[in-house]
Amino acid sequence: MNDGALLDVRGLAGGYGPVKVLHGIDFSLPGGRITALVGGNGAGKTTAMAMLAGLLEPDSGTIRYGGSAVEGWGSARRVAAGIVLVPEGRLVFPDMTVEENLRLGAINRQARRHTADGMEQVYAQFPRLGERRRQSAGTLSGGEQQMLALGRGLMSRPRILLLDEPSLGLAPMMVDLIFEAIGALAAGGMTILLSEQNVGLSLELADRAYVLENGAIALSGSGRDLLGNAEVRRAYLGL
Amino acid sequence: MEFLLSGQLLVAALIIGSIYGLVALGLNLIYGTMRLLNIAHGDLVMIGAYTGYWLFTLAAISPVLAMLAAGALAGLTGAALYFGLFRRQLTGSQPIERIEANSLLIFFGISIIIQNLTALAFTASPRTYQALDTLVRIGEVSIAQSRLVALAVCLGLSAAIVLFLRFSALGLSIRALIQHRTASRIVGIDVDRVQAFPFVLGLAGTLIGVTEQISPFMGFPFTIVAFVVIILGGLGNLAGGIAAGMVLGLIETYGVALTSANLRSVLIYGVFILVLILRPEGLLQRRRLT
Repeated sequence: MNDGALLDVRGLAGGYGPVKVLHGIDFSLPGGRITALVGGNGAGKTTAMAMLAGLLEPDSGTIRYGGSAVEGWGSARRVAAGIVLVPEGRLVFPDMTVEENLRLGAINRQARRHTADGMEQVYAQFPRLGERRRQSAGTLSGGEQQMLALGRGLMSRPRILLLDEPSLGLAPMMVDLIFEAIGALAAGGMTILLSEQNVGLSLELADRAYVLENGAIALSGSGRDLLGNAEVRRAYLGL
Repeated sequence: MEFLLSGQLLVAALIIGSIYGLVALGLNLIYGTMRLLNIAHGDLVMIGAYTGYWLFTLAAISPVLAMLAAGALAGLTGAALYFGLFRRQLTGSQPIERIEANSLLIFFGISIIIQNLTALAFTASPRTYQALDTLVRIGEVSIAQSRLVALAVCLGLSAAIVLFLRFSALGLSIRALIQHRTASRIVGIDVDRVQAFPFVLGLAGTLIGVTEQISPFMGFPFTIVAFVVIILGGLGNLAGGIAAGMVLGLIETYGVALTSANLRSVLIYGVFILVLILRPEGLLQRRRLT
């Protein structure tokens, strides 16, 4: 296990029934840093995220969080322990209000006591959500829904935030706003795993990054190194 | 035609409607939260009816108390089915469509087993018993106490459940689970904690048992009615389901009064088919834009 890693993944493999998506990947998340998992569509990023969040059982591999092996934990237990996913496609509860969505983020027992504080913080970070607190989430724009998904994740009082494609389908201005928020969270000491197709933007932000190709780690290094890597520039940045 | 305006008929319709509403509420919650197509739904109602019958016949326990015991028994049966048969499937990574299809077949088998075990134990002959049968007069209408209790308990319990779902934290998680299963797992809702619903079925069963004939095969019509009601009210729309139960109770009672008791099933299936053709998302469901 790497020194100072809050989460350490070894040999993670599996997929959906007979379809194997991941073929044994290793990576680790140092505490208080942004780690990026980049790669094209279908590389296995979302599958890895689902396995970390306890939504999908891996065929093999270990996930160590702090001192404990969490492979057998259900999603509820992982959320309570501080591993929180902000999923691809946002998955807010469309017929519930913004406020109810946020309350659901804090549904686990540890976080529930802090519901009111948490909500205030989310509204401070995203005033637009505060203005729409009584509106149902299905009527929000894509960018607002992404804010809400992120806010809902924060309501769970995470120690590790798993952000799956937060920029997907958003207008450039919204992308900036969301990434600004992610940067602010990291500056505040949050441990973040960022999975993105927007390779350039995430490499700029990440302390460390892994390039995922066809279910295996093809390259890894500091975000800055990968930005300078000729292969990455050609394949992902179109340079 | 004057009898159509009688208070007696209206009260009868309200009673049957409130029972339908409560039974359908149970199915709506089970299907909504777990995506299990519970064909054995009515059989839990039957278990409740027999519990009420035996407790009264053997120990002279009033149905008002018996319905709590019946609720507990139905709740335990439901929990045993869940933990014994479905839990592993629901927490695994199987696609939800497969669980739905499997649950339909499994519950079909369970339903046959429960019905025939009951017939084996208590014979297949229908039974009735006389409890709470004092007549109460309200204005021009006189109704048996048992039916009044059924109406009050069904309406009160339905309202209590809806309020609970609306305003409590557990209720919020249940509504979330109905609305979006994956998102609910993401925020950390624990599916095991929402297993108390079959309780209401046993309770409803006792109430039905005091007002109607009891037999091992009495449950199936209630299963059908429950499905019709939640199609009417919209899947997952709990308050809509209660209202739809009332609507079906009115249609059935007045329809039968105008025609003949033999047409009861035709009326219920007729409503079902019409709604599926004309408005498959449910009469009371808002149309989704997506």
